[in-house]
Amino acid sequence: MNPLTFFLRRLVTALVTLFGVTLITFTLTHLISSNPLVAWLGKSASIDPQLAQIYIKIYHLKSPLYLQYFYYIDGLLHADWGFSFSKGEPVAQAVSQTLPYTIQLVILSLLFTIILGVAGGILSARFHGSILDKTIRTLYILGYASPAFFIALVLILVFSLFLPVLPTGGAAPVGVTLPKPITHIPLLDALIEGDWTAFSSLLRHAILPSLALSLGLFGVVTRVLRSSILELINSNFIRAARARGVSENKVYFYAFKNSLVAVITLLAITVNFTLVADIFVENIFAYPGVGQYVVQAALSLDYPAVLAITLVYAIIIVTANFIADLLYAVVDPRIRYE
Amino acid sequence: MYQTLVAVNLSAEQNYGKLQFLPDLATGWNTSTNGEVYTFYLRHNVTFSDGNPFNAYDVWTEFYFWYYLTGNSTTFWNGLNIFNTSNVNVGPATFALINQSGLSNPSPQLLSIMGNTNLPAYVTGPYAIVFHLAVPFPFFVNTFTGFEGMIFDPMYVLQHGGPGQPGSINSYFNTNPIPGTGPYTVTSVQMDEYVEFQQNPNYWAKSLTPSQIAANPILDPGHYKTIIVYFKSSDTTRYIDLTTGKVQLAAVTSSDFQLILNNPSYGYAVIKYPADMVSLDFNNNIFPTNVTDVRLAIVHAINYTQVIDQAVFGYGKRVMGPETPNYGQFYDPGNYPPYSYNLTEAKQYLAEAGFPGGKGLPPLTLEVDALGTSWETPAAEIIQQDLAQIGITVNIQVVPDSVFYSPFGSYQTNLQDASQIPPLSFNAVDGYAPDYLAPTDFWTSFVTNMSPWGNWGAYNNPTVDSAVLFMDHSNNLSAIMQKLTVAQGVIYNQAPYDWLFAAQLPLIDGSYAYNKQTISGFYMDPNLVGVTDLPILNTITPA
Repeated sequence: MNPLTFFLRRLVTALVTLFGVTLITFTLTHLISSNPLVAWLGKSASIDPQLAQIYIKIYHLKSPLYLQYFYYIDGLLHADWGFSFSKGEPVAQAVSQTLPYTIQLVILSLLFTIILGVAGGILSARFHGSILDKTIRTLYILGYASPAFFIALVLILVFSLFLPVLPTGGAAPVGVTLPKPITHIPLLDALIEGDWTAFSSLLRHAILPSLALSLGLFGVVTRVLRSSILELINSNFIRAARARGVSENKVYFYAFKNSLVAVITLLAITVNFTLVADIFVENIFAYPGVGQYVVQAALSLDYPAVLAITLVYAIIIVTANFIADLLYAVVDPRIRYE
Repeated sequence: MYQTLVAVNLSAEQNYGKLQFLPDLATGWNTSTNGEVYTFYLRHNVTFSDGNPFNAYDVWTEFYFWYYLTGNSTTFWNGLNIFNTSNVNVGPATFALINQSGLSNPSPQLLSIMGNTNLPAYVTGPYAIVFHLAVPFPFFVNTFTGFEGMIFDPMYVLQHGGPGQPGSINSYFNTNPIPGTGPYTVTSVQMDEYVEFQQNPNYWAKSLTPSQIAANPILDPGHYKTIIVYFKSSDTTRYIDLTTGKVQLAAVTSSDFQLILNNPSYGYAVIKYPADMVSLDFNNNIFPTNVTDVRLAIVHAINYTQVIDQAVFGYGKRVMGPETPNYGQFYDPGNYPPYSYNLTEAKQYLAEAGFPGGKGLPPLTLEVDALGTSWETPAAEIIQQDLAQIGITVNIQVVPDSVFYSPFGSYQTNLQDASQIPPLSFNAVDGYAPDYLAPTDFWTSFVTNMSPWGNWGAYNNPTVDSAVLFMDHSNNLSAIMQKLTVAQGVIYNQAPYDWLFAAQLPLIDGSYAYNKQTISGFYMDPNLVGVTDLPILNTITPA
């Protein structure tokens, strides 16, 4: 299959997936409550009937569910994501303000996951059976077995209470001027602009939440990488390399390089898990990203926001998997687009 | 920070349980003999924090902003149907005219609109505004303690895109707060992170003497140059921030609040005369909670001391509703004691209802709002055990907040949705605090067919309805009290609700805690968590 056909086929699959996500989320959110007006307006739903009528009209609340869905999709296609009742602003505006914070947290946590996971995997394989190997395995099992919110609380206790070196929450301290938006990801913008005060403040506030996300997941990378390296270390090409007198460290490097396909697959899955765990972590650290927003939205039945955020998450996950598919071929040219 | 035309005397309210109103942005007011016309005389030389002068034209414009934003609702003012809005034609066109003319010195065309005496609110000069009610309402001044009573700079609103549309308020003001006249001004906002307040150098009451502040504490110019309010959703994080000294005041609840109680270094707000009603609501329209004797059996089967001790750390004041003790003589006019824990009496009522030992009664569902599980679940479990003693089986069901509220609305809505409302539920996760400080609020909300919100049990009795209606529109206090006393007797005997307690902690199972070495105290929101749910920042006093 040529790359273009592969790309188009994946694009169609992605669009069908996204359509499915909107349909399921829309149906579920509407089934939770047949009367969202009370959740949106509270007491005003009763005392301001004219206002209630305006909402009924805007959101077609008296129409059958399939028509409401049609209007919703029509709005999406016309860049109208609706109004977020929990934020008091258009959904698109609220998502554009919160999403960059989540993206920076996810990127940072993936970075931690890769560094810890790869280092742990290589060391564990290189010294397999040693105390170091056993320690790394114990650590990753502990991390993997602990939910992100628990890790978050432990990190707060250690680094904010007992060793008060890192903040308990927020994205930046009061008084720090955030950099002008270029990429809209504050940490990256601060780096581009060379604003080290903002960069260090943003980084300090992002360390604990991103660590909380990665400590639970790095073990998956470590474990797969370790097994893959140990499997490859006995393969023919490694034996041939050893026979040619290649040093043991280089031999492990060859094995590592050949194990990357498995790691890349995992990283795509890791993005999925990170986004889910991020919801809990952002709430514990009062981090102003989409994770915190979606909880506020879900609690107040702000379904225009819940729908939009679910869709954004789906787009990120589909894109991550798509990128992983493309990277297979880059890392291992033997893999063809199939 | 926003101020109102009239101020609640915080000291009288929170130290002595007396409701008194003092001048704030209005220096005085008078009422016509028929009780329908209220004239407010406004303070001169007051400016908003952006420098715009405050006058009656601002109050007029803001009044109609509220009207417009509710979609021209006749009950836009605190849900009360007290204004005749049939002649009101104030909307975007008038706002555009105001934006063009300004409010410091309005154009003659604008003045003719603002001075139109056919409107429910009109100005009679730059410092006098009249509110003409359609019906006498003796508690109109009280309504200014509510959300709609807070005065902001309407010119700032108009110069920054206007108030928005009904159903979608201009979101520019989320991060660019509208200037007020108060002692603090917002200098920085990060959504969902923090709000920074700084003392307003131009605050009109900054030179008040200590005795003047003591006489009207809400006017206090404040004791800290800068106050930062952080938004942190995790209770543990807030507790850690407080105990590590990163913050001086924090909302601490549940198990973390127990740690505060055990540590004498920390103080916390306790409301002496609480207004926050916590009740177990009976669905008065489905079997078996539509049977009066079944309800009376339940109200006598609950060990209230145990509920208060275990669910809210002992900080609940037993009350006999529908009113709370902060309303003085309007509270329990019949002088009935709160329902007592008496299993013999409870069993007797059940037998009289035809269900001896609970035989013939279906299991009852007690709905708990998922947001309030920290105190509602322990309270529900005690109630479950208590009712089991008289043979009533209770199933506790935890539901999401949005689902909990979805069947509720006005009395008519609750009646219509009765089949969707569980037989037992708690009235609200954070109790039910008043939106504005008028004794009509709870009487109307909980037990009448005029209830816009709060009568979850859809209870109705003609004697009670007529007493509350009379209270709404009469100036004859002794007649009001006579009728309310009779109504109270009806309510006591019919037990439409089980008034569990009035919450003495602002957060029900927690409070605003502070280190005693840094803070000596503060006053709470005068509506006792009904409007802002925060300590009043300018009254926070250093130790």
